[in-house]
Amino acid sequence: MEYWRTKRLEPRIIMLIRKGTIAFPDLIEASEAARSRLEKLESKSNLENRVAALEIGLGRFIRGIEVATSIIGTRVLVEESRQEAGVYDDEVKLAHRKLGGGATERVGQLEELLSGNMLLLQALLVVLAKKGMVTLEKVDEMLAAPNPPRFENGARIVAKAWLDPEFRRKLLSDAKTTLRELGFALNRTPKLVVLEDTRSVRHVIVCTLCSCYPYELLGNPPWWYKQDRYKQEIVASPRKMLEEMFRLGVPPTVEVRVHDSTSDIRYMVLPMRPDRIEGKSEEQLANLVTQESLIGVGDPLEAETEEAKIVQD
Amino acid sequence: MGRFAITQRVRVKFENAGPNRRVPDYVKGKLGVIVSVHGTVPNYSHDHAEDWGPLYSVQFEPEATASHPREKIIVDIHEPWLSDAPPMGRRKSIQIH
Repeated sequence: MEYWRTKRLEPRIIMLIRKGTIAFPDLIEASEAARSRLEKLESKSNLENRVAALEIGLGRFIRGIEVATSIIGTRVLVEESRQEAGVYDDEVKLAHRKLGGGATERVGQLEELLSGNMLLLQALLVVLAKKGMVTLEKVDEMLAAPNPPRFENGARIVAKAWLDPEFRRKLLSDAKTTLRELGFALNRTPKLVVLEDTRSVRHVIVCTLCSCYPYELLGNPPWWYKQDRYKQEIVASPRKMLEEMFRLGVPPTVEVRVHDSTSDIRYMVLPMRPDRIEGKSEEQLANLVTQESLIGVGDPLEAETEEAKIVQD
Repeated sequence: MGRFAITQRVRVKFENAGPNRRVPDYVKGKLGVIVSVHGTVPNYSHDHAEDWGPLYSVQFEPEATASHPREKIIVDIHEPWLSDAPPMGRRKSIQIH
């Protein structure tokens, strides 16, 4: 959450203030209107529910920053220097507020941070509306994103590509444009490439330096995607890794291509269509597509036994 | 677009090069082949304010010495990190140290 505040929301506010588009007093004046726009957090007793509510809240916060960014529309310079990261001098580094205590205390602190961040975000949106850059109705419409990021989006896209050769062709040649036509905004995805598996090629995706992933389309990656073991071994010995970690044997005739990405291009795999899918609907086919198969470390489920096996170690 | 074309052989620089400060260590100094040319990808609003230069997908052999012949590693690398490499001669190995 602190990452989004320090790297995404506050740099934009500071830029607008520096450029004279808005001023701090505007934000203070807007705070009452902003507060009334905040969704009331239901008081949940159970810790698990509070964590779940926090995750949804963080998603709303990130989406809100995206909406504000698309309204502001200009380039925002985010300093990514080593100095800012505190490599040379601890004093000048961007600080993330620390959490402390046990799980209950930390959840409480996160709730407090989130509500503060949301208040600031809403104040910004109210000010932008007041300056005539947008209307609040339009803001609300944008906030209610029709396609929240989750891997099921990818499953639906894969199922559609299995059934519709023309869509598949367009998806493989220009994924971003094709998916925008389908209603995915992809404003934070510079370039999206869909890699098609064939009888002779299997694609696998990794980001060894960080965890680049098509977040905006597929949501968060599985836990192992960010693990050093996966990152290091998949590029050193792909077949061995697929066998050991994912119990996936790749026939010797099939070439394994591991793609190590940067933040500029996000990759998704279009896995091979399972056999015997005649007569299945797009929705039924989408249910066969696993999160692992979109990264290339697993196959879609077999058509007959949909509950059969989920590749998970 | 950029200096390099598909099928061209390139070598990844050892020293830090260009505005993108990071390239995976395991390909530094290695020879690879350009397999895709992407041009300059604008990424202002999300990750970096500067242009990182034209982007290429470059194909390498995996690290492990006992790797399977049908295994390829494809890394996206920006142009400032790449230099010309001689075309493939008689020697098959593209790994040098």
